[in-house]
Order: sequence, then C-alpha cells, then structure tokens
Amino acid sequence: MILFAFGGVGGLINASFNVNMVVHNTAYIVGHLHLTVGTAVTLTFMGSATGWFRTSPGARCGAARSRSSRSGCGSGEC
Amino acid sequence: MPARSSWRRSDDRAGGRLAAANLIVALVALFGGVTTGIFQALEYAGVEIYPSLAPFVRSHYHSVSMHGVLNALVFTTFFICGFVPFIFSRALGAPLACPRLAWWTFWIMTAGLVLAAIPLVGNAATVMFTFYPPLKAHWPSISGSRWWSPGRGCHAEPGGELARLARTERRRAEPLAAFMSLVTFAMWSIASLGLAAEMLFMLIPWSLGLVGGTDALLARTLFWFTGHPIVYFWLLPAYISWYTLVPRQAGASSSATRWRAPRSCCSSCCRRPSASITSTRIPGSTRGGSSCTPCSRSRLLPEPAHVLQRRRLARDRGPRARATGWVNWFGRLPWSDPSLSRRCWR
Repeated sequence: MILFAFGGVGGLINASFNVNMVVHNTAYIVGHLHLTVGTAVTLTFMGSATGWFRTSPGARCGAARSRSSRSGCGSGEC
Repeated sequence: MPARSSWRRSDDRAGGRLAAANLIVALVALFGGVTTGIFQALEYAGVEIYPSLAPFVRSHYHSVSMHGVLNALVFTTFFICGFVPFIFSRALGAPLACPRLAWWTFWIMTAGLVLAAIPLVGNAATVMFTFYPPLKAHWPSISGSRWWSPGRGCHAEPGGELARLARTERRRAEPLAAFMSLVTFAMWSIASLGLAAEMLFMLIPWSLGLVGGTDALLARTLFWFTGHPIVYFWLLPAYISWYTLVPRQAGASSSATRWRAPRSCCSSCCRRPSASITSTRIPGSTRGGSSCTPCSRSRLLPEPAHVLQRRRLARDRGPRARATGWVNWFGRLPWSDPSLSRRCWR
C-alpha cells in the first residue's frame, strides 16, 4: 500500500503531456507498471490468499488459523 | 446482513474447490513469470543465459513475452476469477447462483490458456503481452487469449445472485465486498469489448491470412479501450482486500458502506477517459479526453490514504482501542500475520 502511493505519484507524470514525452517508451513506464501491479496488486493478492484460504473449511495454517477465524473474512462477515 | 440461512457447509467446500483450482493455475503462472523475470535480470547483469535455455527460452523478447503474459494476464485473471466469486459468496453468506457455469468458465479459460501457450513457448507469438499491429502472433495465440474474455464475462453470475437478493431482501444493505465484486466484473465486461472486437474482426482474420493487412491505428485504439481498464481489473480486487479484509483484521466493522460504494462506481467510470488518453500516444491519434486524465490518474493517490484512515477508524472502534493518537494504533496491528503485513507494506 505504501509503495502503491509512490506508483500513484509516478502516474501523474504519465498523465502530463509534456513530461510524458520525455519518459514515454522508456524504462520509466516499466518501473511504474511494476511499482503498481508488481508490488501493490501481486503482493496484495498473495496476502489475500494467505488470509482467505485459512478461513476455508479444511484448511490448516498452524496457530495463525485461530487468529484468522477471529478477525478474517468468515462466512457472511465481510 | 447476509442471508445466512441459505449457506451450507457443502456450498463453502464447493466454492473453495473452484477458488483453489483458479489459484493453482494462477500460482503456476506466477512461478513461470517470476522465473523469466530472473532471466531478464541476469541478462541486464551481463550474464548471457539464453543460449543455454534454448529451445524453451530463445531470446530476450521471447522471455519478456512469456513474463508479461504469465504475470500480467494469466496470473491476475485466474486469481481474480477465483478470488472475487469466493469473496462475493462469503460476503453474502450464500452460494454462487450457478457453480456449474463457474466451472465451465474455468475450463474454457484453461483451454484457451493451453491454446495460447503452445505458440508462445514455441516463439511464434513473441509480441509481448499486448496485441499491437504490426506485431503479428500466430493465430492460436490470439484465439486462445480471446477465450479468456468470454470466460471472464461468464462471471456475471455474482450479478444474478445480488439481483436475486435485492429482490428478496430489499431492506438489507449489500455487503461492501459483494458490491465491489459486482462492480469489478461489470466494469470488466464492458471494458473487454474493445479487445474482443480487435481480436475477432482484425487480428484473427489477419493472422489466418484471410485479409492482407489491418488498420494499426484502429487496432491500437480498440486495444487501449481494454488496455487501460485492465489495470483497474487488477486493482479493484486489491481494493476489495484493502477495504474489507484489512480493516477487519485491524478490528473494525466493515458494514458501513455508504461512502465507499460510490467510490467503487467512480473507479469503474473514471477509467474510461484514461483509455482514450493512453491511445493519444499513438502516432496519428488525437488528444481527445485529455482534460479528464489528470483527474483519473490522481484518483489513485487517495486510495492508500483512505485505507489508512479506515485503519484509524479501526483504532477507534476495534479491540485495539487502547492505542491513542494518530500513529500509535499502527504499531498495535497484528504485524506477525503475513496476510496483513504483505498488504500494508506493498
């Protein structure tokens, strides 16, 4: 989430016509994509999967399961 | 309040199996995508690794194409198609309206993935993860990728379930996670039309040799009709996680949805000007929609702030209410739980 803020700020440069002419077709665009998708989305997905599957029936994740069952997204609790 | 009466343990297991199937494909794709990313990093470090990897990975662009397709398309799509219906179902406390349709969707997407993977691995579709004439891929690659779009559209079943609940339980507010899930797939159903039109009417006939050429400018415009909204197809499920799962882990109730539901609608609507602005970088295109773009882009900025604010509210309402001030609550979050720490720091 914190790195996503940097990705969002970097997106303002892409949105500016004049500055974008400088960074377009450079590694800056690749960096922006990885900062937003490669960090924010991918690692959020991994975190979600960690918390989400622990709440599924039959799943076991050590002691963390009990914590999740109290605070996670249980059936009908979101 | 969810309709708990309709929820059965067997429904939970069935939904879990569907989600697990999607997640397995997604993680396999992520492993492949990360591996090819390492190859690129080694090349930038001066290690020429591709000769030893032939015929599986033959060049830098072959590696980049696999990296992009596996990470940006396969991993994200399969994960979202597993995560969103699962969260939707759990949020409502009701099973999916038509699990058989969801399984058909999964198998259609998997078949399309296999069809697209064969020419991609064979270096016959080294066109990155975009569909950008005059770069031309082998026709099974385009056709297979096309299968993902209707597959994703079939996940409109959450909409059917929500409509049914809206009719039967009008006095109940829908859970935020269910609403955001619906918005995600509604947005994507509209957004994928551009790519579907480009593939069906331009790229596949061109790749099959039925037509001698294609209009690159029109194709790229249609591509960006989908190409920019796809970013929000990736981000909205992350917002679901940030807005509904993380606050709960911080101890807050996520039942107050009035002001967040309109934000989800804005997320799906505001990306439309961005699609047109991205296409203006194409030589020969105009600058239509430029005035809306800064608003659309800057909309990304407040998201982390809103989520952090939600956690501040969690401080006030949750079991960690002993924390005081604007920052003390932050240290009292369950940082030892990886599902929280990953989402917060990334």
